[in-house]
Amino acid sequence: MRVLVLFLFASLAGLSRSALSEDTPAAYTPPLMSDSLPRVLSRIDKRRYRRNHLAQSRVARAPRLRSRERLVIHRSGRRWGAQFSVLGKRQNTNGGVLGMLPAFGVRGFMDFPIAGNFILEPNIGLLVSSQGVAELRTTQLRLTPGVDVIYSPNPVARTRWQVGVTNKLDVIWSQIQAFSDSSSGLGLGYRVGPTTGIAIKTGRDSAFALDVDCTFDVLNEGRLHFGLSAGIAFWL
Amino acid sequence: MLKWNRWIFAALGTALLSACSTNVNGPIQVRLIQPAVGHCRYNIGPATIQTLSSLSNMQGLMGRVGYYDRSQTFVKADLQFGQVGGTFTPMDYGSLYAASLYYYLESGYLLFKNLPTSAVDMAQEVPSLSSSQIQMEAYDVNSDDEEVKDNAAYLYDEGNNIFISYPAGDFINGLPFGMNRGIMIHEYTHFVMRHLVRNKLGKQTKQIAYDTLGALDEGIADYFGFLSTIIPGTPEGEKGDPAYFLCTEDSLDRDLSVAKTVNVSRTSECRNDLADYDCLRIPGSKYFSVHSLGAVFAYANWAQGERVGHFQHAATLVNLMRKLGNGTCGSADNLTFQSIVSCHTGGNYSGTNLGSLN
Repeated sequence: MRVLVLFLFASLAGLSRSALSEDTPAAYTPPLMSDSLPRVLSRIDKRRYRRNHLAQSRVARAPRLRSRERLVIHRSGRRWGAQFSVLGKRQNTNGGVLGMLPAFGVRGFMDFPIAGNFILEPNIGLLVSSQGVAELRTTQLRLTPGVDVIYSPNPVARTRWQVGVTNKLDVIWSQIQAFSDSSSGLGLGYRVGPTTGIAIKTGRDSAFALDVDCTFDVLNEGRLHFGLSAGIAFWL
Repeated sequence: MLKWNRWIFAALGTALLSACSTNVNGPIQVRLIQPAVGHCRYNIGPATIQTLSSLSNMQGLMGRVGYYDRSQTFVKADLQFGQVGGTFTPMDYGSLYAASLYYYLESGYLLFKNLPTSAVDMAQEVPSLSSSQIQMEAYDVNSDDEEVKDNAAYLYDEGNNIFISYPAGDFINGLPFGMNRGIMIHEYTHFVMRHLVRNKLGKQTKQIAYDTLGALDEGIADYFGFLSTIIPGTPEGEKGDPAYFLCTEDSLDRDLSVAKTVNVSRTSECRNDLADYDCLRIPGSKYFSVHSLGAVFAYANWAQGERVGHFQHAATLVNLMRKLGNGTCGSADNLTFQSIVSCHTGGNYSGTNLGSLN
């Protein structure tokens, strides 16, 4: 149990990546080596890791780098972001846009490099869609927690491209309103499918992030969904 | 005692199983719009669908709900339902629409089947009932090449029964046609009339003046649509909503409780639409305006139903249909609206002038 707690603590501090970074490109420097962390914190972590046999030998000195390289190395692969999202659900009736029923909302994500150029991206979205005619209206609020597994040929490039697999759970609250009465219920979906995206550096620690995905709801006859998200990502 | 991670697995498993089980047999509970007591009053809540064999395909004894696309192909509609506590909830407008269409037509089936006397089980009369097409938001164009909207219809095409609801247009009050139970039972009643009268008469139907049967058809359909709005149990509920048409199309003067009579002396040009009630005969033509004369017929039956009880009176209309079909009311050569009215045992058309109409 102590080992597990230590390991989790190390993960949260961004140190566990050193155990995974042996095969990563040179630019993929562990955060302790970057000059973004205060030196005093590094020393504390070093002392802590001397007592931890798992990571003791993997702490290294930060190399001296030129400013331009430092900008790149600073983006160590771990990042978070917030995006505006549009999700289209295939609908062969009642209009929509290009045969899709659109839902609009926001999405947040966090990236964790796991091995090589592979990245784990937990994410969560909140979307709303509404349709209606005259006195009748239906509204759906959709909470979509999910995890993407992403591969990027160069995660620290100034323009980063990535491709992967996404899977999301849909928890849908649906409300029907007619005249003065309303009623609501819950539904579930589980979507899986390919995803791709691009992140273009806009500042020292930030980038414009655009992601698209095409998913199939395996709990609802493989119904096609198409997602588009755009926003800002920040490197930690 | 379960640990927290087992609770999560148990909850996820239950949720996935319940989500996978939308392909169920009826009877099932689905959250839908149902008439409540009063004019244009509705409740939204669990409704029991009795005869469904597949919820995700929206298919059962009444037929299959689908979408007739622009390539003239009848395709399955994209549907999604969620389930909590044994009640399914439509997850979008299309799913609500599809389930409503099936449920309302089933309500019509049960209405005829459960009449106190002269009940008629259309599944027995029409073994192919389960092959019916129930088209939601069908695409069609009218003679002006404009897309048909805000309407519903029943078609009998080479042995196939087709119930149609057209897309909603730009009206701003009320419910779409396909979600007004009275209107869909109006269409279901055309289906009953087709099989109890027109198909029984066969080629003889052509010997009857075109709009004589048409007006009878519309009038009976209006009346059975009204019956579907009755909520037994309370005096207020048993009044029903004779103006149920206005909850969808408030420009129509189609309230069954408003007295209407035939104006046989009219000679001016007819608009030939539903609001032109006294326009019954196009000058120079033997034809009636079917909806107009039908509305007069429906009012007379509503008034009689108020006197003797609506479901008892409805049974006399089923008897009338059977008598017309088996020739008891006379040969098709001599069948006029007047003779039909005379044949209606239990009918009372005083004050409508229907009895003097040839």
